[in-house]
Amino acid sequence: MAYVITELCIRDGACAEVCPVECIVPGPEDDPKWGKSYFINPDDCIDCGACAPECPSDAIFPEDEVPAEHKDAIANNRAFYEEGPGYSAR
Amino acid sequence: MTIVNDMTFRIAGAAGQGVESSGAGFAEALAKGGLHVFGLQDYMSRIRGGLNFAQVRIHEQPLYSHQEPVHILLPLNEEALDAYQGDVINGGGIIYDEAFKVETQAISGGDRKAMPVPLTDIAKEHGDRVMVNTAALGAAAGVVDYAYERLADVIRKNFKRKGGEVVAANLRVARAAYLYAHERYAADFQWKVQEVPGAPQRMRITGNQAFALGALAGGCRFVSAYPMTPATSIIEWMARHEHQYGVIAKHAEDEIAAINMAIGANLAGVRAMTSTSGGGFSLMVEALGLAGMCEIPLVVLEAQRGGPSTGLPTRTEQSDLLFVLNASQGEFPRLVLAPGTIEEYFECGWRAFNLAERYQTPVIVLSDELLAASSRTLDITALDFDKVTIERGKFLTEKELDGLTEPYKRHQFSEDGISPRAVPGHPNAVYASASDEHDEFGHITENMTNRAKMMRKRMTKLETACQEIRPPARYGPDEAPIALIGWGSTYGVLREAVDRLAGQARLVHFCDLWPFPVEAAKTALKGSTLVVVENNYTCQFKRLLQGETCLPVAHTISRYDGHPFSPEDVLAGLKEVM
Amino acid sequence: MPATVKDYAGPVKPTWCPGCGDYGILNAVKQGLVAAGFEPHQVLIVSGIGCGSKLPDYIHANGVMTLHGRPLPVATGVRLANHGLKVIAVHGDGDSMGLGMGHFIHTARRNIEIVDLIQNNQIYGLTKGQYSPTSDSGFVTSTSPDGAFEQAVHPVALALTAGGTFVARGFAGEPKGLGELIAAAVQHKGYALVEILQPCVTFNKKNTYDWYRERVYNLAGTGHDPSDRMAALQKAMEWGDRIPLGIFYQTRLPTYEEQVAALKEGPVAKRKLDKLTPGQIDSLRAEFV
Repeated sequence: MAYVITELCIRDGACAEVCPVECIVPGPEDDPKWGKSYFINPDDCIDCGACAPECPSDAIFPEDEVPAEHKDAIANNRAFYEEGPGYSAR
Repeated sequence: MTIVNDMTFRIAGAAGQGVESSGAGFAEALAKGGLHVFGLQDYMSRIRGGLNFAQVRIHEQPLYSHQEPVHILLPLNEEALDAYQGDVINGGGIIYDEAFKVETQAISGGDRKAMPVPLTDIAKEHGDRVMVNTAALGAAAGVVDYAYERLADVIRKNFKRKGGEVVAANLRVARAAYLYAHERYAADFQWKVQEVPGAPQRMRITGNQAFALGALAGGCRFVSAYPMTPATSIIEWMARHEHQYGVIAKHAEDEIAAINMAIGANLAGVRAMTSTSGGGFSLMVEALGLAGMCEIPLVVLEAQRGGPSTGLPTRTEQSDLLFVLNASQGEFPRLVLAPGTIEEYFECGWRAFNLAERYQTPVIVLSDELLAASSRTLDITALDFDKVTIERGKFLTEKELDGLTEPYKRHQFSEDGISPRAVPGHPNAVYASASDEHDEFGHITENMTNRAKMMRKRMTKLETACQEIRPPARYGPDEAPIALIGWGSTYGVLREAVDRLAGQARLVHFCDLWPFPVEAAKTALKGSTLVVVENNYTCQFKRLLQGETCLPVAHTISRYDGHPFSPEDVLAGLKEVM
Repeated sequence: MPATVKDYAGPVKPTWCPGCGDYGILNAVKQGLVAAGFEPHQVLIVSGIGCGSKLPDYIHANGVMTLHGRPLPVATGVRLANHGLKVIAVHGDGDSMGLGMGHFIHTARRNIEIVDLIQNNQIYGLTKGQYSPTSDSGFVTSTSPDGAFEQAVHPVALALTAGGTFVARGFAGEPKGLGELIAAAVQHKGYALVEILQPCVTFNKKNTYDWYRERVYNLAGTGHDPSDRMAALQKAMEWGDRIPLGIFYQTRLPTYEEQVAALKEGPVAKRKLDKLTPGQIDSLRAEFV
């Protein structure tokens, strides 16, 4: 089902470090569209929940628990990998 | 004074001498003549040497037990003669090879008749020295004037595959020995055997064979087992019938694998069982709980033998009763049956599967070496195949599964404790069971309310089963002052004891042991002095009976030396305690 | 309509620790089954006891969580009774290499069509951190305070010498590759082992994701010939600085099911259960006359 990083992300990076399948990638820093956040690949995420507790800004939610005001983050995370730089940004 | 058609032959020797096959052949010859036969095996846990015997008792009336006195002993070696001559009755005969180095006088103590016959010489002269057993049987038939042709028929049948030459030689040997013994010893010998004209065709069958038949008739199509005396013959019989009946007989790597395979097969919807003895059952104990917890039907055959530990592998005992009733950690429902006769053992064969699937829980059939290995003649219809039913309980059919609209609950709560059972494979009933405590769907949960409810659900199945548990069987006059109480294989010997006690005692025999038929027991045992007869040291059935009914058992007659009770034992034991 | 990963989603949230390798394994199992075209009702997953053995509780498919060390014989019974079901065994290193070692060897040599997934985290997780038969020598735990004295056993090597016809190893940190291995295993005719290296994030601080990533490499592309058993055995003994992943060995031999006479007409469980016919009864009685 996948976890989702919302716009609360402050680019701390602890999430990426603990991810067992290395499916969390930061957007290129200077990129106007992707630069503000890290992104979880929804197809590769194994729902292990290791990332969420590591986030200092509590920006990460399981997909079915993403608050209403952050719902576009779901499509956004996917878009980063489908249209955006994806893993090549690592 | 001649006594006709009421005697016992004992063929004895070392393992490897053909004691068992000779005994079987002789028994068949007698059965074919219309006699009732009771065959008792006594063998050691070895392949060669030691002392074994095959005992064949005959009568015109049906036999349910062996008896103590031996009328003709056929020792195939000197050791057997030495060891067993004391068991021969006054006036009885010992037919042995003239070549044995024994003193004739030494044998005839107590008026036993020494009957030396040049068995090896006759065998060598007319055939081959390996035919010495045939000579012995021929001599035995000659001494009791039994129709030679009946023995000849068996020889023709049994040696057929070895070719005409061998058959002819064996016939010559048998005939020569017959005539030799008849000429010298028949006139002076009191016991005779005569064919019974017009007797119907009969089966001669062992307990284990009957059980396997019953299981097959009851729809068993999977047996997994590890060889262990005295249960091995069951999987061997099934393996021989694999092709014809589509039964899977799996010799597993150990007993733990055996029981778990049977559980897997039952889970997938095939009637499956495992068969073993006490030591193997000990290994199976954990898996018993798996079946009980996951509500998977299972049939376990436990054929008891002398314990503890490796014990007496080839000898009989009834010492696993309380173990089987209580085995495995925690509490879950089980049913236990301990058939008393070969007919009842057959019936338990198919009944067990119906009970297992109806209550979706383990059913243990408890037998022992005596019942497993002894043989009796039965009328062709005595094993009642017509009565066999295949009832699968709340087994959801394909149609019912097609019609399921709600998510399927494998462990659905119900008034009788039994849930509708879907076999995996249908899209409307996808489920996972757990040996952990679980909810109705089978998901693991530690919720204490659910746990208590699930425990009640499972145990309620036992209460439901109480309604169809059979009362103990009764034999003998209701007003007899003594009730001889038995369970399992002692039915036969106690029945004969009751006959001999002519009104002093009656038999109350328990086959259905768990759930225990409390009220039926109280009714059956009312008004008599209770004497329990069992093959164990700690009086296990007495403890069970007293615990469940609070009835006072006055006496116990025990035997725990690896040998079965004889009617004489029971009478002597009764005399001692009364 | 072919099944998707969503069809395998179960209602129960796993109780595994965040970051546990079992998440990757669960993911790969779903991917593998979908890739091989199986639907949930066609699958039966038999597990033992342990953290990883809770997998059947977290996936929508048939399953049974049995006893520690005993999933393989239960799976065998299921398979013989209904060989129309795709049967998968799931158990840990303690379950399979400790208590269940005997069954493991016999199941492999039996070549019965069971997929055997061994979740190897080189430790006992659910009982909180004791050493396991696959723990490296010297591994210090509460039951090996002076370091494990024994040598570690390797499921891949054992399966090869026991006659396994499909022997592979995957890594929970690479669920995609693992999913492909599982898809291949699920389609193999015969016994198929996939040993799965997985970190236990809570109790095994030695064999971590990083530890594995530094060592694992794929056999595919190295020129390894999976039809060569001796070559596979050599690779199977490779452990430590370099740990091979992928299909070590694969061959086609008659499966156990193909040799059982009773299965020739199809699954026994699907046959109508009838009483014996009068002819059969007569024939059986006649055996004893």
